[in-house]
Amino acid sequence: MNITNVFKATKQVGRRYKQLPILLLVAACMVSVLSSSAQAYNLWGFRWFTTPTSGCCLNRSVKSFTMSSFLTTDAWYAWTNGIAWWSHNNNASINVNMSYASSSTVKVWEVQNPNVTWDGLSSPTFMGGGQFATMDMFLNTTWAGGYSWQKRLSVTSHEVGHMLGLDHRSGACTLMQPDSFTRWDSCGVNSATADDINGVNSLY
Amino acid sequence: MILFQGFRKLKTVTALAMVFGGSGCATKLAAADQHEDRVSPSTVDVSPTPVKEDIVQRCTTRTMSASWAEYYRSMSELKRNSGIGVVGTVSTVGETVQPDIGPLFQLVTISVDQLIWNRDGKADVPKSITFEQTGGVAAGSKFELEGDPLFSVGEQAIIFFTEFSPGKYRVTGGPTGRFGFQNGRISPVTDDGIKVAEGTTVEQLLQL
Repeated sequence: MNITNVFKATKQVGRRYKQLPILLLVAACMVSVLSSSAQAYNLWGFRWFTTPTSGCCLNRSVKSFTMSSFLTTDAWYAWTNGIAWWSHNNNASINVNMSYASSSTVKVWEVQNPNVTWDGLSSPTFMGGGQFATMDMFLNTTWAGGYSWQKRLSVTSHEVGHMLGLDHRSGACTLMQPDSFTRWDSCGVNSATADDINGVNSLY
Repeated sequence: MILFQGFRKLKTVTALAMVFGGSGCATKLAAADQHEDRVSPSTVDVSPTPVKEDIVQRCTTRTMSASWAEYYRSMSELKRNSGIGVVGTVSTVGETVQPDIGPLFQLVTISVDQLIWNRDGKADVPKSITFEQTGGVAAGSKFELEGDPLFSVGEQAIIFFTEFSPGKYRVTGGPTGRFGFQNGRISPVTDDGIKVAEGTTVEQLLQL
């Protein structure tokens, strides 16, 4: 290598290092954007109080329900699967376990109401300190009765997301997308996405 | 038969006072808090003592959240799925009703001031339309669906309707099928539906 080449190489290294701060800045921006999109979930502002101080998980009971307590077996399956799929037992990254009990402040129902255009609804009551007191969740089979079981599941899973403390999130393919057409038909989402799980885990 | 299950076992709730009219907060106390299985604090299985004022405080809005079967983000979709669209004035808001199974609701009647959309050229558009709105006032609180505020008497609105059985109407697309209307200008009710600039006219809305 002659002296000219040595000078050229030195210049190139110098140029590279000049660009280093810019490269670092770009990298920092990318990390910032990525990390903000990873925390894009919206929270309802309420949660269940009973979080364990160690180990896993929030243990949430849901009132036991039998198939005969519903008008259709489709609704029974939709709620059973919607609850099961949100559970630590089925997805170890979710810090929530749900089980059935004869009495609970969380209840699921089926209605058939053609007067409204919601297919699922969560109706909470609240206590002080940002806590849920009770939660009733409804599946409206006037609409959901005509869905595929996968789309019906997207509704019940969505409502369970509310029950755990998530709010709607539009403009992204997550479970908390407010309308079922976008959530299932366009996005194909019927169980918790990473964003939904991050939201719930931030609460429990 | 079961289509009207929601109406089958209605318990019309007791209205203790009508102070502000319409859906004014704390004007109508419903039976929801008398339905032990649903909201009585005695069924609460989370440990801390309820903060009393938080439960019974008057004029507190309790938000419910829904998954929507119909939800429109473009005017062409909304028009395609609506039989009629009207400019109207809310003439009555009924007592809050607590069905045996299902969320609270109220019946709202709107007087039709102007027909702005008639997809099928319906000849007998009614002069007033009564429809169900989920939510209401109960136990000193206002229960409201997120993004779908309760209607009040005297309020002007643009609403797109579907006649789902003869003479029975529902709002098309939930909160995306209604708009605020004042002095000839439209304002969106939800920021997640059809994008309408503040002050848009009816003619402009229909062209969106």
